[in-house]
This record gives sequence, structure tokens and C-alpha cells, in this order.
Amino acid sequence: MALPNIVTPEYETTLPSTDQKIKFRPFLVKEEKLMLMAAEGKDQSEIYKAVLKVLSDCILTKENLDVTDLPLFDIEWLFLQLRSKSVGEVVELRMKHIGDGGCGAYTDVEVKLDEVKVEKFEGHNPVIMLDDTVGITLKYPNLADVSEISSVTAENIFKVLESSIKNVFDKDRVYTEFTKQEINEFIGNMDNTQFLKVTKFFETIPKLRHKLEYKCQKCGKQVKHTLEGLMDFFL
Amino acid sequence: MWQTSQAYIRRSDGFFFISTAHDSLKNYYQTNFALMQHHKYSLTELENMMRWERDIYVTLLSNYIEKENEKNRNSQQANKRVRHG
Repeated sequence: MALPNIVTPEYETTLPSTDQKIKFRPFLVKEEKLMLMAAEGKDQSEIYKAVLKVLSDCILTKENLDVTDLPLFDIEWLFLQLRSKSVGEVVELRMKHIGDGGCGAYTDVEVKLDEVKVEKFEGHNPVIMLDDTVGITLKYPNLADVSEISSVTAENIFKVLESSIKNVFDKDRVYTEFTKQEINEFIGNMDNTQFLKVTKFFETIPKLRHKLEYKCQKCGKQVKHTLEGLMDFFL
Repeated sequence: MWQTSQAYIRRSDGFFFISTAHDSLKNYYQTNFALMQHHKYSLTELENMMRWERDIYVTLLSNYIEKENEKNRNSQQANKRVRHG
């Protein structure tokens, strides 16, 4: 006899990268345990495993969607939506008044998660012409690409770039299959201008951004702060 | 390039913590234990709740306990008054 299904509400959101409609359910207490255990362990690969597990379980749309291949800003966005519907739509932050004339005092600020948006940048293009005839198409790094990186070294940064090259093309053909050595040589042969063009792609990757304005509890000054990429939400 | 990729890599696990910043593993077990030990919930029931749902039950129980304590205090005071009166 089949066991009964646990009924949970369904919500819908749109993936920032593709505008695909995604149905999801809030995470359950047992799924939260997975994340708390991973957070406690502070092991990055365990954290990624937990993230992927919870996302795969909670996302109800299965067609044309591979969670492991989603760009990080999509994952961030989905996680924010999950958190918002599972725990609550308000995050309480303790903001430290730093910067020019900052008094160093902490102020409690509330952020409404439904006001946080993914910001897209003008001129962002995954197709990059390196010269008149040769170009590359880049893809966004996904969680797996980043999870293999344990520390920020020049070698690891090249690894991210390697895994982000979807294809190389010239006026005659598109190259989609290449060895690691071939792509390494290709990257190594880029001049500074070409490298800067590639850099621009990474600089303009869409990101979660939210502008905060609050009055410092101690000195009374009006403080403006921009939260980006959710890392800021915790620091 | 260095700075950009570094920022991107640093961002990657930041989003995770927003989902866990509201609670700790210690508090998770303490809450579940209290609900099982004192209020007869089963672990399966608790684990299959949505997170905010469990929060609501905790708040309702805490309100209930407060009211019961208040009632007990009032009846104790009433008893004292009867004995002394």
C-alpha cells in the first residue's frame, strides 16, 4: 500500500537566467536539519551537497531543469525564495556603521526578502569576440564548478574560466569539444585586451542586490548600504 | 580577473547561510526534544512540518503555558486569601 503524501503548499518563481517558471515547496524541518548540520560542519563540499539535495527535493518542476547545472545567481535566488516561504519573508540584520564617519555602532535593520532582486547589467554578453574572426561563448559557473575549488589561487581561477568556456568559434566552425590541455593553451595565448573582455563577462554576471537605507541607532546619521550576493547578509 | 573570480567564489556559499542563520543545530535538537518530551509530538510529525509551522506551534504552546502559569498563580493567590480570610 502506498504511503500518503505530505501536503505542502506550492509556490511559483521565475528563474532569473532563463525566465523559466519554477514550482517549489517550502523546505521541511528535516530538510532544515541537513542544512544546519552542513553549516555546523563548515565543510564547503558538505554545504554544496546539502544545498543541492534540498533544492532538488523542494523544486517540483523537473522538466528541462537540472539543479546541478544552474548558475550561482539562480541558486541564490531559489534559496532566497525557499527561505522566504519556509521561515519568513523578513531577515533581521545587525548592520555595523562603517566607512567615512562611521561610528562603529550596530543597528538592527529588517530586510524584506521579496524586495531583493537580481540585478542585470547592460552590455553583458556571453559571446565574446577575441579578434575579428575568433570568439568564445561563455557559460555561468555552476555550483559544481565552484565546489571543486578549495582556495582562491591563480590555478583555481583558471579552472573556473576553463569550465566556463562553452565553445570557441572562428569564421569557419564552432569548436565544442576540446581537451583540457588545448583550452589551457588557448587561454594562455590570450593577450591582455582579450583577457579583459573575458573579465568583463564575469564582472557583469547578474547578482542579487538590495539597497538599504537606515538611521544609525547611536549617531543618528542616515546610512546607505548595498547588499550584494547574499554574502553581505551575514557579515 | 583575480578580484572578480575571488568575489564570485566568495559569494558562492554566502547564500547558504541566509537559510540557516535563523537557527542552530543545538537549538534545533533542543526544540524538538522539548516538543517530544513535554508535549507528546512525535519526531516524524515534527520533521514533516514546515519550518514556520513548527514556529507557530512553539509560539502557541508558549502562550498556552504562560496562560496556565498565570491561572495557577491566580488560583494560588485566591487560596491564600481564603486561608487567611
